[in-house]
Amino acid sequence: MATNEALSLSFGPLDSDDVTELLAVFEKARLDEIVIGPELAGEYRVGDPGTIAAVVVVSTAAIGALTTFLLKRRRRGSIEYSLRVDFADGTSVRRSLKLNASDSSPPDPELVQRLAELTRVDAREVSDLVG
Amino acid sequence: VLGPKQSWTDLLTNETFVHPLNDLVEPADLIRRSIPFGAVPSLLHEAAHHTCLASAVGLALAATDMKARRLAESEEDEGLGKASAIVLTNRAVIELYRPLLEGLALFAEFDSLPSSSRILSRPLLYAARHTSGPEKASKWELELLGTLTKARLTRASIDRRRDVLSTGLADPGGYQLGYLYVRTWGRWASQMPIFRDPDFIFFFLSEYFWNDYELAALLLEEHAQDPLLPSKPILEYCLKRLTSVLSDETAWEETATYFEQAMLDYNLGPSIAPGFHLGPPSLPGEAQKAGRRQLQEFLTSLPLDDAQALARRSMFHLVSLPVKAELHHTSNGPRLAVTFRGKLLLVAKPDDSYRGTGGFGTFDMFMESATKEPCVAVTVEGELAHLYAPGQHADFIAQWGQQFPLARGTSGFEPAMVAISKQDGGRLSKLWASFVSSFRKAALAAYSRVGLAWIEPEGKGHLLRQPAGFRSLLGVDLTESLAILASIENNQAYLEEVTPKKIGDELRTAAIEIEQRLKPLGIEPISLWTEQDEEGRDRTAILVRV
Repeated sequence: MATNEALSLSFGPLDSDDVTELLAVFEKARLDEIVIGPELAGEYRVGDPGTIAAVVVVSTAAIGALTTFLLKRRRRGSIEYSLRVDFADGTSVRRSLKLNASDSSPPDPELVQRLAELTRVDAREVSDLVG
Repeated sequence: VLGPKQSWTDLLTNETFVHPLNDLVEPADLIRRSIPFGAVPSLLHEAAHHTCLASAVGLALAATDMKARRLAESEEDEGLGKASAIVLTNRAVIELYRPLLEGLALFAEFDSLPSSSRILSRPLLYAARHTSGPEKASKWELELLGTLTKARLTRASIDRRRDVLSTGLADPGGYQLGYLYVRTWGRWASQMPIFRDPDFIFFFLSEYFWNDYELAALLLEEHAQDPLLPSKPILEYCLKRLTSVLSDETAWEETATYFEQAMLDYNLGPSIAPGFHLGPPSLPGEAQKAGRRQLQEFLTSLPLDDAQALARRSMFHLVSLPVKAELHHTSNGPRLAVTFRGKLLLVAKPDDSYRGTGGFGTFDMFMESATKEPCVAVTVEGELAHLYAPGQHADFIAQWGQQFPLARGTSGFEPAMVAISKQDGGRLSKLWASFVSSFRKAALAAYSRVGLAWIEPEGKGHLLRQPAGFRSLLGVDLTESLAILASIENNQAYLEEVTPKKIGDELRTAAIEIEQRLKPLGIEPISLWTEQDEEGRDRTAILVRV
């Protein structure tokens, strides 16, 4: 792992079907380091449970499972997720991820590459895991 | 990742944003103090956060964060070390108490009802002030009960309950963890007559944890140990308090009676000077009284800017809208015409001190803890043009409101963490990132001891491991049934009273299935039993523990 490793990745908003599919993918991969909860309004904020997000502990296997979910999810129609990665040095990075079934959507290898770069895990290992 | 429709409360500034009031309710309705019951859950939720954070502990956290920021900006190594120790301790306290904040807010949203107690919490007071007009004041309690019942049986409210049940207990926001803690605490306490009022449970618990002058005084002390570690005595204090219900050290009935009497005896008085007005020491013991004196002394020693920013924390913002104002000279004197989205919103007499001629500004409606009625302010080009404050504290609010801009978003004081990061190259942020999960784990252990006390030991571990809480165990449909059953229980209704009858029958089937699925795991979120109603008929009563 790099010195400043990614600790967790949170993303949302998730609808009920997203949660069902996401948990099924993680269960199939026998991974349990995922938790569903309302999106946090901020480190210094509290707020009502508006929209639902998932927090994943970053590992190659978890990013592989997440990529599998995103590729399946894309078949259901267009969607835009907000992603936030928290790093060991206390910094975080926010990105937006748009998915749709048309040509403009990132092709599979590009999606794998993008998520792997964001979370600083090995893209080839992730690619091997995507089913 | 903040969704545009999410209401929030800032932990340091205590600024609030109640999404439905700002974006879905007509401002004219707000002025008439009439809001649809669909907006009530969010109002209750944020009002609960605001009430907790307007307390002794909330003030101490904000005041010491300001102190830390000034120490960091002094650019002295010693100052930076002291600032880091303060921020680490404060953030650890926030993480330990975050589930409590959410649990109390969800309890206010889903469960709080006025009943036998002689005192009423601020969230319910605010809801009462905005759902029954002045002409209905004599029967406000009945009106409020009706509003709360309707609000909690809406599709949106049941969805929110279901969503909370569908979150993992290890969720960093601590929503379900905190809610189960408060629900279980309340159910245990309701064996004592004084706690048979759900709103009193909310009021007492919010004071017990947040208006805790002993903890406030501890936060003000210099943390003598390693500046790169949060204060151990403070963390031990918080963890002990969270699990205090499991020990025999606190005489809860006496403490609650003392609290109720302290609130009844407390009278702010119309002549109070603007600035801080700490609440009474509402919990018994010399440490509470001494802590209150320490906090008062600390607050009066602050620089004016900090003192004003802290005094502003008592304002609960209902709305802050962008408006245009024009000054007109009429036969009755000058009048300010305020328009919102091109429609006339308000015509008001400008304040005597206003020297402008109009322009762009904000229309703000807010509650202040000295008053029980909503106040209105119009700020034009940064200058206060009109302030309306009703009741015996009108003069106080008028002086108080002159001290700082009242529009939302103008209060911001930067968290000390940001100032420290500029000085230490991000060392403290890195340290905090390495600590945060351990505090969340400590919180998970403490809250589960109380909140999951009704679950068999093997069931606790099972539930704690589920990524989506009850949804992982029950699936979507049964989790929704559980949410509906909880709403029915909240309204103290029998299953036979559910209409249409078909729905009541389906819920009975769902309840039995939930029991069959979870009982073997040692988890019983629901109990059904038969009792006789006033007319001697057999009726199915429900107890929901989640």
